[in-house]
Amino acid sequence: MSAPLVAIDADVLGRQRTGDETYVRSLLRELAAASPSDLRLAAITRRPDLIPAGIEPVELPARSQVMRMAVSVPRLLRRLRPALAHFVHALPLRCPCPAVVTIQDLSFERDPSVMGTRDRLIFRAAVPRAARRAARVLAISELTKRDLVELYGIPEQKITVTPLAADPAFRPEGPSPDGEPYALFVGALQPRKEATTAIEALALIGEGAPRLVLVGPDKGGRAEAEEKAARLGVAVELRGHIPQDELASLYRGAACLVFPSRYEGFGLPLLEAMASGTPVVASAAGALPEIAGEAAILVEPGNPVALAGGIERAIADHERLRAAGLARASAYSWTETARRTLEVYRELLA
Amino acid sequence: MKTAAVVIWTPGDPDPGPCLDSLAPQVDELVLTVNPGGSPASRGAEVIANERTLGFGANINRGVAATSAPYVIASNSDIEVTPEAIAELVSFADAHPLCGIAAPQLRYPDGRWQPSRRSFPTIRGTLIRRTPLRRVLHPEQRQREHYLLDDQPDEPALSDWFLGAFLLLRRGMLEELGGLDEGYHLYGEDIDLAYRARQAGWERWYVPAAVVVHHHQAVTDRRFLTRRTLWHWRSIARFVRKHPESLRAL
Repeated sequence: MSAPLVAIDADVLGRQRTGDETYVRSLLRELAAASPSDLRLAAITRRPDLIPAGIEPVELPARSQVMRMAVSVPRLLRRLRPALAHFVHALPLRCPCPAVVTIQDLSFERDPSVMGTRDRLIFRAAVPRAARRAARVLAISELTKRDLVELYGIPEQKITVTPLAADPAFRPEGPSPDGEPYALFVGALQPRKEATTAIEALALIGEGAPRLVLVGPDKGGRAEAEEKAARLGVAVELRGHIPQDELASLYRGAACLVFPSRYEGFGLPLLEAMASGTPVVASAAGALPEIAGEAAILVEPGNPVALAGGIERAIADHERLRAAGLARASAYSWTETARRTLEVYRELLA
Repeated sequence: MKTAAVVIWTPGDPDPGPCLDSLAPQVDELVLTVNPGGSPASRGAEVIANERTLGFGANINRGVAATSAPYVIASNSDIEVTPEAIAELVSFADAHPLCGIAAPQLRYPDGRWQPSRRSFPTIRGTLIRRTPLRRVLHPEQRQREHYLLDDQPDEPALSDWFLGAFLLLRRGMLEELGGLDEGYHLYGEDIDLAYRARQAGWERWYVPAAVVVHHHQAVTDRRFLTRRTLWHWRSIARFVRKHPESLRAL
């Protein structure tokens, strides 16, 4: 008898969906590297060219996400007959086999400003349904696990925490930009990420403040950030979405990462900066205290005075934070996350 | 204007006179907060009379708001400072801009050394220390670790937190952190403040060159189930709800 087949939904690949895409790409890479002999792995994707060797690509073109989850994925699963299927956020309308679902965060429950009304309604219907119907839920942080227990009443023993990790591309050695010191902000420009608080904090530092480099796609907050920077006279540079090697170089050269977000299910930029040897100033919100441990400076969310003080202390305490951050980042690895994920597959197939 | 001191007095506390007299020559602003039910001699200190009984955190926050010096001392009324104690703390804090909280060496009135440095609480340690379990589970050894009894540094030392009897607080830090959390009742504000200070990158230093006499009454230690024990447990619950990630370290 051949090894049981596990089908992984990898539709996000190649679609510039920052967090989800990093998760699926890194997980597939490490699952392929682990090359389990007792399982066959297949990835459902619209971009078979992005699937690493060792995982069987199954092409499924899609135009509408709703039609895909309602009709084409169930049909594909009926033909493929996997022993187990693994999805991100939501399950298809019908699933002929036990399913695993990865849930990044429940920010759409905790903070309505995270997404538009339509998306929010879809998530509020699909995510709790997926969490209840799945045989196992993978949460990316202890916070997401607690939220799943508290908000949806999912039994704790059904949830396994498989954290994210910094990509190996983020490391202290390598090129970095020359020139004036700068503080780095990484994240989509949207209210939840509080780019304006970062700008206000630099304005409060005033004389001698580093300039602010912002990396991340515009999700409706760019105009406000530009307007605030112009009004307060803060030097900012908006870089938009950039390739990973360019981002890695920016991390290495930064005086500190400024991450004032109101809510995060994980906060991957924290680990990316730490892995690059860069001090981190973040808000004590969502999963950030859990991920940062003692290796970052954590300040009150939404308070530019606190953030300004935190930036000054991060720069003053560079050496300690650099050492603590490198140690912290190395505690998280995709290899370990893939190992735990495989363990879950095996438990469910046993 | 360098240093302000806020002394808290609640009915049942000893006369704050000796405390205020010892502080007055060493500080620029002196405030006495008084909970209702008594009117102690103020010895020239500015009096803030609370209309209802307020906890440690709320009293300190009121005192901080009523003063403007860059350093604020939070003091119980059963304290007497020795000459130069405050100058020692202030010059240390001046030399260490990351120092947000500085605590002196505490001594009993008879001159014995009083342990005042603490490690952040752990669930196991607290369960044992605060329940009858402490009678059976080698309490001395655990107490020694929690109270850092084996470590009596004579040089300044970094610490997790201190007994809240007498602390020098940097006003800039208090402004950043939004002051003390007034939701605690009698226990826990000092741990919470030190924990949030640590998260925000502020250092907490024990400065043994500054010596302060503490007429300490260890109330919790005598009985297991009193109103104070209940407050203590409520404080622990609040701390864990506020900082769930601290559980990982516990």
